[in-house]
Amino acid sequence: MSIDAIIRANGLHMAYPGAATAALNELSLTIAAGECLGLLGQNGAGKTTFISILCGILSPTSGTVEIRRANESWVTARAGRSLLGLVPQELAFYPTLSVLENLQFFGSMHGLAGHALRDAVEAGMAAARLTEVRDQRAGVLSGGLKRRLNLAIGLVHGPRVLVLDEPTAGMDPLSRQVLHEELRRLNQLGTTIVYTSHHLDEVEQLCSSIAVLDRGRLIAHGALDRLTREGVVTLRFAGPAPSTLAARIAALDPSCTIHPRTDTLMIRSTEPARLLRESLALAAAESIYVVEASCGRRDLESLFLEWTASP
Amino acid sequence: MRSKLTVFALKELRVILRDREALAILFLMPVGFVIIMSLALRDVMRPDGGPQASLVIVDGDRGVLSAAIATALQTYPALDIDIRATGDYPEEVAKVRTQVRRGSIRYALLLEPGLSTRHATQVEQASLTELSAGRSSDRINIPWLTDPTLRGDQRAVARMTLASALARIDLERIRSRIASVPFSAASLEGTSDSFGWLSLSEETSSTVQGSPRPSATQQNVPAYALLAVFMLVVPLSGTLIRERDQGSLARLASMPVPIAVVLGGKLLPWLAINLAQIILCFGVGRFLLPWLGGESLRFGASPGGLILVSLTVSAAAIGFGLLVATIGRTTEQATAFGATVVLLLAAIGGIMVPKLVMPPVLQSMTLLSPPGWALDAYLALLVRDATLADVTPHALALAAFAALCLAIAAHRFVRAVAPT
Repeated sequence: MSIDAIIRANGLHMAYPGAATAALNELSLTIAAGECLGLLGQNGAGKTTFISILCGILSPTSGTVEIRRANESWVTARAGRSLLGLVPQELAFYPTLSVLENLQFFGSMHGLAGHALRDAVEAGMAAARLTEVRDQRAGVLSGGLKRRLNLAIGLVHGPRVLVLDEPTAGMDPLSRQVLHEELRRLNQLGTTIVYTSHHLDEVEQLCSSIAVLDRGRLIAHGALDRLTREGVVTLRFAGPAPSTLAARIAALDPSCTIHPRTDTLMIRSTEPARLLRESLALAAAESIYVVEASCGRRDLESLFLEWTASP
Repeated sequence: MRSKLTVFALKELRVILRDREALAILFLMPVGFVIIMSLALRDVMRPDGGPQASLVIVDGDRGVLSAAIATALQTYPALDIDIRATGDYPEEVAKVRTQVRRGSIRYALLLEPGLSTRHATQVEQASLTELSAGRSSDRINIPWLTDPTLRGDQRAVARMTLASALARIDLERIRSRIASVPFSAASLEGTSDSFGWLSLSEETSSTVQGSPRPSATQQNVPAYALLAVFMLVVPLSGTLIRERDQGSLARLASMPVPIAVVLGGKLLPWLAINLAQIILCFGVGRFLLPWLGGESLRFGASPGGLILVSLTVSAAAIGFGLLVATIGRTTEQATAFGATVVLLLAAIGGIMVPKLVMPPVLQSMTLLSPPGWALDAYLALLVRDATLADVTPHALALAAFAALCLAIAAHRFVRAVAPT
């Protein structure tokens, strides 16, 4: 485990009452301090459930989530709620209160008062560029301004970890730019960011690493540049993909990842050209007929679609 | 530094006060009902006559007259007679007076010490004119206590029964004094109330307050104030579900905010609004209704009792509202369910139809209705001059209901705010 870890989830399992399948299935994930993690997955993959557990809203059926405090001690997600700031998918504020009143209220709920509250509210409004509309009721703001207020509330108390659940849904380009700038600034100042979005281009622009969930399981996790640098070797056979060949290919490149499908082996590797050449040589030596072979690199979207495609 | 609870409650109050349309309905609805129903039912609920069962005779006299009265009344099967011969007449009268005021005794006849002697002396000293007329210019008043919540027809029949019994006793005394009389027992028909030397002097707690049973004002002011108080279930559950759908509750759950602060922050402002509703309705009953031709509301003898009942019934209503909010999946579901249940509870609790005109089976069903408990307590305070101690059981029941609802609401709260 990284010594810089700030969040560690271990064996998370979450089954909602009456649900046929588990929302999270033995999910373990470590997030480093200062990391900007893109949390990806199709709808229903378990992202919101994971975020809800991480923020102490839900308790998992089993497993633990811990957060590291500034003094290096670890606390449970519930006990560490003041360390996190949540920016939910919904516009989670009070439409009949003004921008200022909303920020004051949520800041107070984090235990801020007096000068500290006043300063935090001013900083939050400035960061989200809401100062000009401070006295307007939240309900009458434009969609983009509402999204910015949603963000400002999440960071008003200066959290160590900012969790954003699809924060740019319905946002205009200017507001999206404001959000990205603020997130980059916060990340540079050391705030850890967990960011979910269906806009993979945003994730590529913002995040240093990604974690991909599929049906409650973590199927990929790592630095974004490493994952996108990896190429994919695809070998298709006349019959079922031979497991003996897969084992021998794995021995050629211990860092590669092999995804066996019915008649195909998909192999992720940082040296795809070499691995393709050596894999074909191995197949020929063992008289295994390869119907089709290809090799190439993938952008995040292609990778995501491959990872989350049904087997 | 202001506590989180104070900040939360102030935020909630600000949110409520900014929904002016909903707020106007919350206050105008009960005021409208109070005025309309109190004026509309003013004449219907005016006392007239009526019979009932249990009668206590406080026998301080313990003489021939009290024996004769008891014997005469026992011939009326509609009355269940309980004779309390006592050496300490004032103490027994005070005790019975309290029991009548509380409604545990419907009627009481007070026969003071020396009544037989006074009656015999007056008949002996009566002039021939008085004897032949069958009435005295100096009649002996026998105090008669009645439950103020009796229907007028019940009271009238009981009064006729008692007056008739007393007239028969007078008739026997007159007969024994003179050999022949110019009248017969048949002549008592229709005149029994004014015949003889004995007369009834009715006393109810309302002799003091001017009305022998709950007037339209006394019934409708607390009744419709209570309906308004319980109707908060609609806006309260609606706002809580909207907050859940907007994600505000989930956001709060992600903050170090105890559930007690969230629920308490909801409870306090609504408590203030409920108390304002009650004060407004009682103020309308006191000051506006007389101006419109209705009866002015008298507040009874226990301001503490009124405050206690108002606080506990408000807590009960808010607890119920929060419970409905945590059960309902949508705003529409919660408001429709909440409003329906409140109207049903109000109907069986005597809010819409006064309990005293309900048949006995329905009257017993008011025990199932928290608004009914509160209305009983208010009527006891306004009509019977009940004390704080008298309404404490009602208040405890309402507080227990509130606590139960809040406990279930808190238990369901986490599931209610969880994102789906």
